[in-house]
Amino acid sequence: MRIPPAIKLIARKESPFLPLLLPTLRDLDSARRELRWITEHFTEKAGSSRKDAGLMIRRACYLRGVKSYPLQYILGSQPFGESLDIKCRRGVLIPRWETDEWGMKVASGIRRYHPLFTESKQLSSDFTVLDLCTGSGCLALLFAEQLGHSNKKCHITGIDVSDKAYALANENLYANKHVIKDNVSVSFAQCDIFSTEMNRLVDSDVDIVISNPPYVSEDNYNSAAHTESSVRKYEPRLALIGGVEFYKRIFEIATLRHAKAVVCELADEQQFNDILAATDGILNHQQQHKSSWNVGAMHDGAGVVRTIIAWRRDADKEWGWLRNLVNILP
Amino acid sequence: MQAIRRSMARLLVPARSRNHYVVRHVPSRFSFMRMYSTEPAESIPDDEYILSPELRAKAESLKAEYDQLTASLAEAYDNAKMRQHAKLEALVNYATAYERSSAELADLEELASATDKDSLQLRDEALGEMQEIKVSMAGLKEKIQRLLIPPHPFADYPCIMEFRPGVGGSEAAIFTKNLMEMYQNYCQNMRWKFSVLEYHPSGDGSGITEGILAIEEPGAYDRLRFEGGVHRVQRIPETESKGRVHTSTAAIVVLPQLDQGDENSNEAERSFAPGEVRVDVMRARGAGGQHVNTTDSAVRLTHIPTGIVVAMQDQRSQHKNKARAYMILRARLAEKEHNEKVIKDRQARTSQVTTTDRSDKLRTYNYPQNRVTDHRCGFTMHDLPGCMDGSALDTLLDKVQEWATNEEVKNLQFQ
Repeated sequence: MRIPPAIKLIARKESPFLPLLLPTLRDLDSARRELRWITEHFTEKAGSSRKDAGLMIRRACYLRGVKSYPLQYILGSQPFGESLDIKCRRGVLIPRWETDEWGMKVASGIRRYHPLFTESKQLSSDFTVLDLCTGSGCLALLFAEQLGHSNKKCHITGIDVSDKAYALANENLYANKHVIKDNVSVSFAQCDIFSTEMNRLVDSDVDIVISNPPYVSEDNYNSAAHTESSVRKYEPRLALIGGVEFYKRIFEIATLRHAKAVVCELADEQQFNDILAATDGILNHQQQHKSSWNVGAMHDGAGVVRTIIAWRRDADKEWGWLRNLVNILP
Repeated sequence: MQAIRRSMARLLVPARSRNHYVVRHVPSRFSFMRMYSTEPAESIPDDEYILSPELRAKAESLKAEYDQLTASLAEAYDNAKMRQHAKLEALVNYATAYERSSAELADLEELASATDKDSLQLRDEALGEMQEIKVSMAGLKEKIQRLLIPPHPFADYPCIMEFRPGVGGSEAAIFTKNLMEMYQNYCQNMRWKFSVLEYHPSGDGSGITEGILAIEEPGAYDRLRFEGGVHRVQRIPETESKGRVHTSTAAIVVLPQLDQGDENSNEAERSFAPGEVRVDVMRARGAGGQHVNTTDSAVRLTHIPTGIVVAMQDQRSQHKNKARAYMILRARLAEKEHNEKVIKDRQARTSQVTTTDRSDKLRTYNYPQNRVTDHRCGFTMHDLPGCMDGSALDTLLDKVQEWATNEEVKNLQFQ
């Protein structure tokens, strides 16, 4: 789609950098907004040297607008949760707003409704979270931030196969230290969740397993209608292409570690149904059996099926509130 | 002479503000501001110390009520009456002191008006004493007024100002931008902390289609709440090719800021019942999730019972946008509630009184005549540049405040 010349003219009159951003951002409002963020970032970075700042801004606008380079890689970070600042670097997936949204809902729900947090008498056990395919560590840190609002002792472990992700997650943990309270401990480990090493790495029980595994199918990845070209060009394949096998493995690990609840991000309704079919042997969600699971799916703010939520039937007392988040039942 | 003065001033004024010198100083000589001299004042103007008849009547009636209460309390103790008695006590004390001073003043006036030679000495003394009494009466008047006129419930709050263009197309958008800058300058002059919550440039970037300013100073709402309404501008627009004067308008809404600079969205959310507010994110449709990487973090809140909609998109963090949207929503709701209460109160009265907080076209900024006129108090100031750079705005606000107090006093007799 061509950009109307009138808009180009206005952009050129307003700022020499604005026309550079238009090819990717298409409309003036978002171009102005991103230009403001870019300008703020680089003026601060360049300090007193105005010439350097101008050069940096021009280069950033060129990368962003002409090359469709992700803004988060240019600025080096993405705000997440209430006040987290997640560093972003090539080779690691950029945190998405959908993840932010559901993570916030689940984490604040735990704090408000889970008996370990609400009951006044001090229950001896600590609360544990396992975050699989953690990438930049954003979900693990979001839970750490939110659960830090209570006094309960919490342990959060994030696991990723990529060494780049593992390094960045640790950097993020360090950079956001001031946001995370003392009652929460966060650690990251590098491990392939499909390997047997996984069983050794996490050898104690957990309360909840959360994950944002790669879920873009090979077909969708190759179709421009589904996957943005900038995502294909600049974000790691490893963090994007995946499918049902991940969810199967996640539920296996959850069962092995006696997790009471599992929340994972997914692509769409079709995938939700595929996951249900593939994991029926593990979840037994159709049986009214004590060890079987309740399963549902939740929409994101744009109305797309985005998360699968599952909790054990015998843990309804602790996790029954998850039912309020569910929009779709199988 | 003028030239010498100018060149001298040029030496004194730092280079950066040189251009402003002429604009800043000349108009004040023509403005209709009342200038008080720093010498011991010859006389205090009447309205500084004389209580308006309405207030005086009200004070009298309350005094009578107080006396009644005192009498009945002497007979039997009653908790409610006791409380009312205590509430009136301060007012009655001030009113009595005021009456006493006013009687004394009358006596002194008689002395001062004596003309025979012997009492000349006495006359000077009387005049001096009158001066002192007037000063103390001015203080008493202030106190009585404060007790009789209830303060606005949100008087101590910081405020939020919203700017939107009215009629006049792109010229209105430019004027809206000018107005927003005027209040930003004013805040800077007053050393008040402020932040721009929303800044929406118009199509060609010369004006704005929406702007929101948060002023963090406690009490800013009380000072600026009469600024809400329609502001009119008369000038030759930059876009005009034939040199004609156009009239355009901009609307300002002033709201109290209830969560004071608090950006913790969880706290703001909790004050609403579940289901009362619908939160939408306004993203392009599509696969979303890992398929797309967007920087758009716009959030829109819809308050279902009232239909108020607030959208925020200026920040990169969607939680900050949400928190700000909640802040504005809460402010709008509080304002709406308060306005409804005011209207209800007014309908209960026998006479309809012009509203104090918002009226049609409350001010005109006339550029060709270098004039700002406030239509409510009828005050005209011939210092438009000073007004727009915020330095002379205070004078105007004083006048408006004075007018508003007078209106309140007038309203008192209907209560």
